[in-house]
Amino acid sequence: MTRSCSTVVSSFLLALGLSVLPPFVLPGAAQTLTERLKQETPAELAEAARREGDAIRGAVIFARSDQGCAGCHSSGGVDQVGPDLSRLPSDRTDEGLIESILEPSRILREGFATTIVTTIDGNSIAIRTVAKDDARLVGREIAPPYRRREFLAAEIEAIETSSVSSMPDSLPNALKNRGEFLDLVRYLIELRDRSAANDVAERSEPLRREIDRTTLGLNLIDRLGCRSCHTIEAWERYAVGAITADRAPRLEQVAHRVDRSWLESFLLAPESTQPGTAMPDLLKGLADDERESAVDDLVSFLIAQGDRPFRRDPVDAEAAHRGEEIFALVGCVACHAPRDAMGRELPTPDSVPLGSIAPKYSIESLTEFLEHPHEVRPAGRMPDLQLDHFEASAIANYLLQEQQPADLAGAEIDRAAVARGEARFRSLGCSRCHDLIPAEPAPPIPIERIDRGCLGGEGGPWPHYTLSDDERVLIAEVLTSEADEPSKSRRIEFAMATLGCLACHERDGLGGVTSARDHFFQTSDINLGPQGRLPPSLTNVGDKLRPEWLRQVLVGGRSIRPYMATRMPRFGAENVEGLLTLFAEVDDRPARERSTPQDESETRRVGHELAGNTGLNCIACHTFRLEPSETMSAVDLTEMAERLQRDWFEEFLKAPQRFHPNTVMPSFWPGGRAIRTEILDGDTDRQIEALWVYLDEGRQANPPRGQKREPLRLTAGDVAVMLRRSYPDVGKRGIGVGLPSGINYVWDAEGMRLALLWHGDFADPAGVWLGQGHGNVRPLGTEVVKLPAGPELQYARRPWQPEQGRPSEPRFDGYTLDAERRPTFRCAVGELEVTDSIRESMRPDGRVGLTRTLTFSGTLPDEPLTFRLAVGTKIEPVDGEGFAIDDRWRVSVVEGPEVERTTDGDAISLRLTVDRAALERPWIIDYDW
Amino acid sequence: MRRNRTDERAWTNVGNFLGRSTRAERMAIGRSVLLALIGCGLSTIGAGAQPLGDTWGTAEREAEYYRIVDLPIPEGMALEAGSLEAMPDGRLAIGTRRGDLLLVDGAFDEHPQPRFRTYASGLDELLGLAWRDEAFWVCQQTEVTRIRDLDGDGQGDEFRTLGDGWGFSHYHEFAFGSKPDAEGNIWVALCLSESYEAKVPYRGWCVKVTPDGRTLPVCSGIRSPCGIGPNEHGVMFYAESQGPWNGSCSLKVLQQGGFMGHPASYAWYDLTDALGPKPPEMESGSRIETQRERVPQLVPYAVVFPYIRMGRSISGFTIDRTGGRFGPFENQIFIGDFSLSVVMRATTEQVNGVWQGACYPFREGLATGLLACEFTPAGDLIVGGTNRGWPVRGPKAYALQRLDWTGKTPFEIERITAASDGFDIEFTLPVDPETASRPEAYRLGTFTHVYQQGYGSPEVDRTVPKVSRATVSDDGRRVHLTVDGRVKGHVHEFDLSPLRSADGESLLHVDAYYTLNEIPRE
Repeated sequence: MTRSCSTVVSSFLLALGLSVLPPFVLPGAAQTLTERLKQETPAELAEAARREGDAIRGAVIFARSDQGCAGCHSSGGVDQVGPDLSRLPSDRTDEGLIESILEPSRILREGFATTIVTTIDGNSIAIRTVAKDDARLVGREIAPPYRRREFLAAEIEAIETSSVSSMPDSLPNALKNRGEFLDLVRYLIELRDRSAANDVAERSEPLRREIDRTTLGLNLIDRLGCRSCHTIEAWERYAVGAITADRAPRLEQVAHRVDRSWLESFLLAPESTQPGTAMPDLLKGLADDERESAVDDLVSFLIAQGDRPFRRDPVDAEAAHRGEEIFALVGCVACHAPRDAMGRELPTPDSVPLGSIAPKYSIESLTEFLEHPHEVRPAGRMPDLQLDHFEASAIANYLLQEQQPADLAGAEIDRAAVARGEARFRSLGCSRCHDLIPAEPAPPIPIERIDRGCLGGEGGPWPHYTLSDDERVLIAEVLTSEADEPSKSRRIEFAMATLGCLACHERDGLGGVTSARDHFFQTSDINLGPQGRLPPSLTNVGDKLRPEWLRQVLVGGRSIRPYMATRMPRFGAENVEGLLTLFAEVDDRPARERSTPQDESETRRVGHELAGNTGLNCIACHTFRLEPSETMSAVDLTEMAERLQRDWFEEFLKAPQRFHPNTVMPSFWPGGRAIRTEILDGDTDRQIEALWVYLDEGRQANPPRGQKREPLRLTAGDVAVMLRRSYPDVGKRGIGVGLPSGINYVWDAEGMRLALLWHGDFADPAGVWLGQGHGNVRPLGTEVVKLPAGPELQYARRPWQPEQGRPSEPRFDGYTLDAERRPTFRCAVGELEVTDSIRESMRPDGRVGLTRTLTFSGTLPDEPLTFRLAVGTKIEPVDGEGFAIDDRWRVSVVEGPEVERTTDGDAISLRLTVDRAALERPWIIDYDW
Repeated sequence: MRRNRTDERAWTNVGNFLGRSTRAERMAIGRSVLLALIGCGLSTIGAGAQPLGDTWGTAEREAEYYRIVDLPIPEGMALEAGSLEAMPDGRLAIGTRRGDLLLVDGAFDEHPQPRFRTYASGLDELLGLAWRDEAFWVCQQTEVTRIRDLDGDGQGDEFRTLGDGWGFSHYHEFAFGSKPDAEGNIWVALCLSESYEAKVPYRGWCVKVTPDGRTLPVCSGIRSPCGIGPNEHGVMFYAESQGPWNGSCSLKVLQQGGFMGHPASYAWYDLTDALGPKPPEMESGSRIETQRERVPQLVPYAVVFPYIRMGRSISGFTIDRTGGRFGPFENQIFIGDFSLSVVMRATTEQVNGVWQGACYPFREGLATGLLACEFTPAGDLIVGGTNRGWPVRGPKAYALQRLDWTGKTPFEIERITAASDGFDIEFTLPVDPETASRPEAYRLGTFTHVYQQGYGSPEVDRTVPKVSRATVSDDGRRVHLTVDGRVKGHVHEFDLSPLRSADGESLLHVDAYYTLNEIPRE
């Protein structure tokens, strides 16, 4: 039985396609790392790990997703697939740790077997059972993303249990080499050594609480706008100073926003037109024909308010398709019901119903509403998800796919009807909820009894709400219960429930993403585990975040988790003012007193070292200045100090799992003791202080050692590439040119000369394009030929002196580009204009060199002008075709005057005289190297 | 009123999930800080903290009036806008620090989805750009160049050097070029070799390059410019950075033959007599106000921007000629700041023949360090830049953003001008006459800077003038202050936080700073 089960489990694991499984190994193929490691004894490996292993590197490997260690064994994690390694029994030997990695099934710890649950609808799910009773089975999926699952007994068809570990026995194969294995083991040894000192109490996930009935009742009172007519003491006690009251939509542009016929049917029968609406039926007390004329009058009045017409545009199917994805990902479905492939709402608990909105909106008006929801609904109950215009439009197209062409007939404005409509608007009390027309504040209507009127269910001269019995009871309970003074914590919960925070965030066990919606919370970086996709807990958030930051999050929608698909929305400043104050009052603790470090810059230097790959290697996982690390894109280090409170930062670093059960963040101070003992004498507090002082520089902090860099390379494509910049041995006025044939040169616009030549790729511009740009462009060729400095064209009798600085002549006039974007340079000496085209050319032996064509026009200067062809210490003729210079390069005058050779000490120069003949025939000069 | 604009998106990391450009943000910026510490100029503080100070704290309210609209940059494009030009054909031209000249379609659309095309590349730090007579006129480090597309393929193929008559030997020798003036001249402000030296010819001078290729000296004494162009009256100004001989950043007038205050560039008086005689040696530790009596060439700094409170590296500026489509600040200077990623306003006036004026906070929370700004034909303000090389508050390596007026008029100090007995203050909306006629509602202070060779200066010689009377105009838009104890040569700071509009609103920005070089005669 056991055997067959293990086969079941193995094949099941295969079916899951676990990323942790080893590559399939052919018989006779080279040995895997696991096999090689097994050839050593555990004692040998343990000895090597103690001697050579690096616990910090091991911690990063532990967190790395291709290992999957942290997915199942997070330190301090809760109800995980595997045992918490920070609580290993201290008698667990080093050798035992090694055996558990190499042969995980040999000793399977109790309670960590794999269970395969087959449900009645035929699905099989492999879990580790964490709780079980007669009614249900709770477990953790053994494959990423390691979801917690609950099965009701009635759903379960069969349960099978295996004694084989769910940990594959070939995990080490995903490591690069034996060294990494030793690093990992060394980290586990450190964890075990500290497990005794680990004072973190064993905990399980906070008990999930339900929202209490008072809060539910108050939410309902808030949403239905009861306060517009009545004074409700309980609401005041909870809400004043915590949250603004909900307000009915603004109606100024309702004619633009909604379809007229929809508006008519909505006024006639609000609940059946838009199920779940907070709008009561105000006309129920009227006779049928009277109701219809009332609706006509009201609609006429409302239509007359706006200055923009309602306009239907055809649905853009492609936008609708994009909208489907955006709707599912950005957070719409945190509150609204998700939809099936046909776009129909799936029945999902706790959903704000949208109903059939296609008849109501136009694509244009829904787009505008989604972009700026608070302009219509200022109370922030529909938060602003920071959709840009195109995202909003895509969602609008998606949600309105079913729309029919509007009946736009009868849009004539009947002035008399408008006036009647305004009178009805006043007399029906619409102004109590809608700010549309100036109205005297209406006095509150005392609540005399709760079994009649709005709550009574029968028609009459009052607003008629369609409420379930339970909703009536909820409201009645609030109205009749003894008035207690709610604690600030209770008021926070009320505000969070009302604003919808609890749909995404948990606080003290209340709220958070429900299992029905869990799979809509996605991430672009699965390496971050659940933290990468689920919005953070808000337990003690006022202790964690600085108040200014928290404000920017709630008001400005600021976020630091670009990998999280669900967006933090904005709620509007006035709507969260009270909540921000309450968070600070309830959570914030007085800051611990600290002395400033004696030598701040030295402390910062150590912090920089700790963050880098020779310290704690924070940079291995964390983003730095928007640049994700190689391993994953954990939150940006340069925003830590701006976000976090200092005390929280310190406590978090000491025990990350206390704050985030199942975090992939390893502990570098397990049990409060430093792993890196050689820095600051292993003093935990001083190490953390150093990190803080370093991070406190924010975006201006020096990048830690080990940050990955993308190299910069400029190469020619189909056409030439050019870069005017500083080049080595040329100066600041270099003009580098890379030709598609792999020939590159630099022309110097200060000396008007050819300056550098090389073969291969063009250049690395990092020296001038990064930082302040104080460096040079670096030619990518290995052998760069440097031609002599100073101008090529000079007056023969007053040669250029190197110490002269910039020569006043020749003058640079610019260049033109040909179709391949190859330049022809132009310069001038006096009235003599010179052009210089440098092109690649094929030699008879098939090699590619450069051919330079120089033209001269205008007037020759009065004094003799020479052109420097070459300078060297060794210049020899080559087969009657040109000269070899210092055995480095060759130059050959194909067309042009006789070459003049002069010697000055060791230096030999080759020169050409610019004479009248040059005005008639271009010079052609070949360069090879 | 305009509606339906892409909403405010001052922060960086929203919305990347659905495939917006993130690669561009990820391009290597790794060495920048290290190099910044090695470099000179703006970052002489060394390895310690690089304080960028507190924000104004007004971004949240500013967004009601001026929305920040992102112009998305294609993935992988390292767009470091150094200069901008709104083309008559509805395209935006961008000159970049990396040397590209890009043409952008769709940048002015209500919901921009810009499309970029390269017109020219491989140039050297494009810090000046204009389109005139079917050609681009650009200023790069090395020269002023006219670029034309002769074969009509949409790419420049003729690059004519109009003027390069200055030395260039150090990367920090930036050259900022104006748009052509009425005569077609491009004015070029030439940064010193470093903060303290002028190693090669004309570093620290302004020259103008004529359309026919002559290069003419204008004035001396520049330190580290970061923007150049006409003020709202058409007179050429430049933006100077805090440093030696500059207690804080300032806008200065490029007066022919004038001396802008940094004496390192005296050497070039030996090369030309175009500016007349060399000024006498400067006395470090003095005040501008004292030195200008001794040195006639010294042009007092027209608008001083108090350090950190009003930027740390003021940069490119432009004039609102939108005819009111950008709100109530027609004919004012809009100027960015590189370090603090903010946009500010300034107004100038000539008093007793001397230029002076005031600066005002405008909008914070831009995404990168700003180098250039330009109004679009629709009357929106496009800003762009990079955060590389020096400390910058804006988090993005590259960003192109647009400030769109929402149509709501903020309650702001519209401008402050000097009067013979005090100041006149105009407001964008009528003030509440009750609060505005109380002299104690106007909190004034004055200070100046030490004029010295050392880097920057503390604010010194503080005084507190007394407002003896505040007279509100009939329409409530103007208040005349009678002030005792103004100090000639000092920056006068205004804190008007007690004021309210006629509707009871508080000022969006309560601060303004007027540099009182001259007091108007009766």
